Amino acid sequence: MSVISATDAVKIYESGDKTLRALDGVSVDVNAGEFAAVVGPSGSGKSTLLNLLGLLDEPSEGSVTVDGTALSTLSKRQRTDLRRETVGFIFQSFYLVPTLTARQNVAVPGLVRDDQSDLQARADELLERVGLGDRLDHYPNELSGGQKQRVAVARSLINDPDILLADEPTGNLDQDTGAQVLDVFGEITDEGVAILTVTHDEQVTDFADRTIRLVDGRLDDD
Amino acid sequence: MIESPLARFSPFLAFARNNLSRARARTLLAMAGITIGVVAIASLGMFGATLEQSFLDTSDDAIRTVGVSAGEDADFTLMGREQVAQVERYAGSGEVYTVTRSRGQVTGLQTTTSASLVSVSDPGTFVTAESGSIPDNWRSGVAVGAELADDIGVEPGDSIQIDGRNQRVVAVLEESSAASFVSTGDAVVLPPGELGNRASQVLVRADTPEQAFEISDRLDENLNSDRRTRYGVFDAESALDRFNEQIGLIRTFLLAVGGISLLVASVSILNVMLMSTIERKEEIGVLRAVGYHRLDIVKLMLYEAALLGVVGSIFGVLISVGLGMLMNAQLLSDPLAFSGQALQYTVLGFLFGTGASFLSGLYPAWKAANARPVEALRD
Repeated sequence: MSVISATDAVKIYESGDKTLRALDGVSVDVNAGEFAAVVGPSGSGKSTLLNLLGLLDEPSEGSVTVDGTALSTLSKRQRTDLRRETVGFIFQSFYLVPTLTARQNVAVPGLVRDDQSDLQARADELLERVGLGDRLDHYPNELSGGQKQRVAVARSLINDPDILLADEPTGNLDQDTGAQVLDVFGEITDEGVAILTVTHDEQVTDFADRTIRLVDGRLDDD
Repeated sequence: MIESPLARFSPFLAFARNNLSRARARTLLAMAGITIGVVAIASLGMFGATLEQSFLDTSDDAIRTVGVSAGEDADFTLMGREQVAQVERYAGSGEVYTVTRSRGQVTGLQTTTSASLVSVSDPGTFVTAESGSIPDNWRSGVAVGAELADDIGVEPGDSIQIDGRNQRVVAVLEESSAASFVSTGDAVVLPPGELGNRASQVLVRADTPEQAFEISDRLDENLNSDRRTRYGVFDAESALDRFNEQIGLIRTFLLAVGGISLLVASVSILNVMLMSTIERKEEIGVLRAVGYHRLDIVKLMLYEAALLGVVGSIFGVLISVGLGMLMNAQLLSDPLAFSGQALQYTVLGFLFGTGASFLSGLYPAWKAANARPVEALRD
């Protein structure tokens, strides 16, 4: 069953008199519990695809559909709400708040929720799950790169998303800590959450259920 | 999520406070700017109010006194029983006193000088002894003004000669305020009646300045009803008006100085908040990505700006109250003699301080909220 899909998505960036077709008719379905990796040379449209599927941007042509709802029918506000309920994000540089502890960082996305009663318990539980149960009150500068990325993974799960979008999640990590993060990804997909990651890391593509290749804004099925 | 009393009240506010703790030095400097602005507004305003209060306190007696003397069309120069009775008739609730003035040669221990001689119907109301004392039922001896006593070198108990007559000095007087109707600094005050029974001036003293001005109007109207100025009636109304006008100018000037420093402070808040949004661009992008609405970001940034303002203003108010106590101690000889007006300025300073930082938070907050999440995340 597909969680998020893009159909014939085209994304055109205009700067001055130049236009750039970053995506040129791409169709992608991401199914529940699937781990998909997007690869391709730089400038091939990987990040653009991630932004579209992450509901951060709208396609110029074509459509993006979440659980049967077309993105184009939603207001900005509704899109933000849908994004909060559906998508979690993980970034290459973690982007943790340096003055907050691990558990506080995980809870940050929940601060704008109406019901915050079980927020803290949920944050602790997620940190346990990514193997950081003993690091709850550590600040980011007291954690290693792999631990920081696992805090970021816990944060991306706080709103119970259906899909995690990861932009080079192992890009700043060495082989071993990258493997730890991938193990966590494996557990998450086992629970039915889809993961779509942009990567250059072969370790990640080897681990993925499916690899989507992009060249010049098009799918490259060889 | 953050455990603190603030977080129990509002987790979002606690998050904002936490963000401010990131660049401690910058936060403290921005707050110091607001503190200085608030101190400038509040303490300068208080200074004006205290100055006014101090003036009113010291010249209170003069302001509520009306002086009546022979006018330019009078057929008398000194006022006898009949004229004093005229004044008493219209004085209403005011107390009526007579003053007789003259000049004479006064010889002390070493020197002789010309000085004014004053006799008042009730000396106790107008003069106070600094050393020695003025007897209740004063018949003989004289009191000498502080300056004159210094000039001719006499103390209570000494003898002086006035126009050749020997007199014993019973008291040296306290300095009277410059605005007083009966100035005694370089005068000799004689017992009532010693300068004759006719008065050079009749003084009417009311309870309040407003009553004094009323009495003055009434006297002028009734005593000079035939368009001839038989009596000269003087009150402090025009002097008070002039004073109020001047103090108003001083106060406006002080407030403007305070306002400018607050303006500078809000520019620094604007600067700090803008730097903070630029530094935290990615982080704000993440917040937007994980479901924060634009208004949530605006709220967060405004909380930060408002916190800077509130905390800075609280310090400003505390410092101003301290400064105000110093001023009160100096000018009103009571550190706690805050007038309602002086306290209004601390409230004004606080409101301006918080308001200014809130306003300077608006633009950075709007800018942060409108950065699209995608662009915010693009390196």
